[in-house]
Amino acid sequence: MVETWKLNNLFKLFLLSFIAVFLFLIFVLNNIVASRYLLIVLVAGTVTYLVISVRVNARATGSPTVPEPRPLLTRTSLLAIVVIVSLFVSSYFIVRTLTAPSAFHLVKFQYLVLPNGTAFSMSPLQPNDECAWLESMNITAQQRAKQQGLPDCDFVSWYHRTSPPTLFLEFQNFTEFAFNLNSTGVRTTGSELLCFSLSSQSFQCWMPPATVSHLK
Amino acid sequence: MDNTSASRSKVESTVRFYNLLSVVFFVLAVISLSMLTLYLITDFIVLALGAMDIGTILNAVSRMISLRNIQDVNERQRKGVTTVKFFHIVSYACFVIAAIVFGIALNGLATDYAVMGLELTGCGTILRAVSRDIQLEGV
Repeated sequence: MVETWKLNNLFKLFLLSFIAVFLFLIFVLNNIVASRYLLIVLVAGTVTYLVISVRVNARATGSPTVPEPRPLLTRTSLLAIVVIVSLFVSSYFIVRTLTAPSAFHLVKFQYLVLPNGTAFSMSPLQPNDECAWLESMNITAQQRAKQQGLPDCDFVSWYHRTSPPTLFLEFQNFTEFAFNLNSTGVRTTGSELLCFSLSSQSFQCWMPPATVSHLK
Repeated sequence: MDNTSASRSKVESTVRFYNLLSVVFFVLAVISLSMLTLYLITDFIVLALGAMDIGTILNAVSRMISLRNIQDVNERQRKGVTTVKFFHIVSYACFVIAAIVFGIALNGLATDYAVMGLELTGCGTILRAVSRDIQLEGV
């Protein structure tokens, strides 16, 4: 009979090999389409794992155990759970409130004007840095950009945002700004924007005056 | 006698709870990996590896606890040897993939891959530490 710990280890090996195969398909074979079919393998493996796991657990629970009437949750455990959960929730709200981006508007892509009147000058960088945004894209977008002959020579980290439409700008002094686009409309007249879709709901654009911009 | 049975019951329920939690975290890792295949964003590998790490730690600790609960020394040693073998195989797999992703990270200066490498190294190291503990207790 397979024990749960053994099953978990086997499944871990399966997941590790999944990651290895995915990376192999992307980096060595350069085959993005095939990597999408891996989902079938993943689902099949997971279903098998869950079925066996449920069977094993059902057998283990069915075995005779000494019934022990004891409190389900002690006061200390409950307090610990409350403290841990409140830590997560409070940090989420603190980060959300204190780092909330302010509204903005762009003037012909040369200046970024904040609601308080502060204007940031956005001048283009050296040609070598024009490809900085490439690294922040996903693999598909990177490939599409490379096919268009765009170089990939610098590094910029990928931004995770689940907030409403947000614009990220990086200036020459590596200062980064994030702005909420909810209350404003981005005017794109006069400049051509090179955009790549990142997923079904987000996309990324290269704006000539700034180093990097992410629209989501 | 009552104390022993109460303690055994606690151990069993802890092991069951940790096993269940580890299954939950492995399923979360699967969800993240399915997002990876859909959107091809490598950050999902980082998330999946994080979830897998938690699952692995819980699984290893629950195994350690259940081994301690075995009264028969011979059986404990026998099961300990099998467990250590298994844990070593998984830790080697972790180290192998960690080496690959570290290679990608250094080659492309990609911090995402460096994080993956660290997570995998962490998983391998923890498993080795747990198996060392099992070895020492089995002696």
